[in-house]
Amino acid sequence: MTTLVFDNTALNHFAKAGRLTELRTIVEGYQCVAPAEVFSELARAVAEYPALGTISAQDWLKPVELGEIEEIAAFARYKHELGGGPETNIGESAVLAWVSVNGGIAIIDESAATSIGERDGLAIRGSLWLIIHGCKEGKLDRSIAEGIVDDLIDSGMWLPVESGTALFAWAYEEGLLP
Amino acid sequence: MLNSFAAHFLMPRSAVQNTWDEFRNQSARLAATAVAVRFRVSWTAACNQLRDLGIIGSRERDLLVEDDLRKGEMLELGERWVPELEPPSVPPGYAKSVINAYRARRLTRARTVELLHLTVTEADLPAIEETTLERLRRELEAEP
Repeated sequence: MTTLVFDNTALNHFAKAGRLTELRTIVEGYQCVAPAEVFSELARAVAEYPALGTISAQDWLKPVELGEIEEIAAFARYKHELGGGPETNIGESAVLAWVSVNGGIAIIDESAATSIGERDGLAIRGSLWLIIHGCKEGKLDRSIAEGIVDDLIDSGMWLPVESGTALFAWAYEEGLLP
Repeated sequence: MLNSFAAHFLMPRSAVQNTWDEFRNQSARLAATAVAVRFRVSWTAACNQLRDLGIIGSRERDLLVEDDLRKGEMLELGERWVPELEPPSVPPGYAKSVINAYRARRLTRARTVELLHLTVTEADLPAIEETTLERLRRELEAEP
């Protein structure tokens, strides 16, 4: 079973958008984990965004620890490369480190972390991939998927489309959906 | 009248036009940045002069002025633009390479600021899209 390893952003915005139930539907058939560092980042933001408190209660999403020496060394490498202080880019570094050692697909939206992971041959996907992939697998119908995209945008997530309708129109025009 | 005289004195038509032509094929914003940097005038003054010389229209001038020029965009030009030898400083060519790597999404905002030795803040960096439809296309085409 393929493992999806979640960074902060997708979880954060699906939670703010009230769409964790749909996310659970999308990821059925996958094992889903997030490093403890990601849970810590989300927990720190709960006071400001109470909706984030629901993420830790999701039974389909398991925390994982970077405990092996290879994982810790990989974390140190990625954290150095991504930069920032002790509270910046921790989640992305942990996700990249975990996937580089254990395999799976990293769910990351931040562009530099994505480029760096892809350079190292890691499989990386973003939030929009999750939604369209869910449609292609027949887990979501198009109108629900479009509504999720709209809600993510309303939650403050920056996406390269103005609406869910625009995203799916693009995907059909490009021949990316059957 | 005095402002207009000063603008034309500081930014003569042919020199502004040459600078504009040098960068225009990359982007209008970069060309306007080059005018502001090379003639050492404010962002608004550069955009106004481009409009007054008929190089850009009023609408384009307004769109440019709306989004203030960021330090990172000046670094992207690869030319010296601050009072020289003001410490700390980084060589313009090096700064340009760092900004290019940031533009290419190979550096995070935090790492870019570190590599520029804190001569800029994250807010000074050019805005880039965190994700693109091109990336999504690659992801969808790569899926099993």
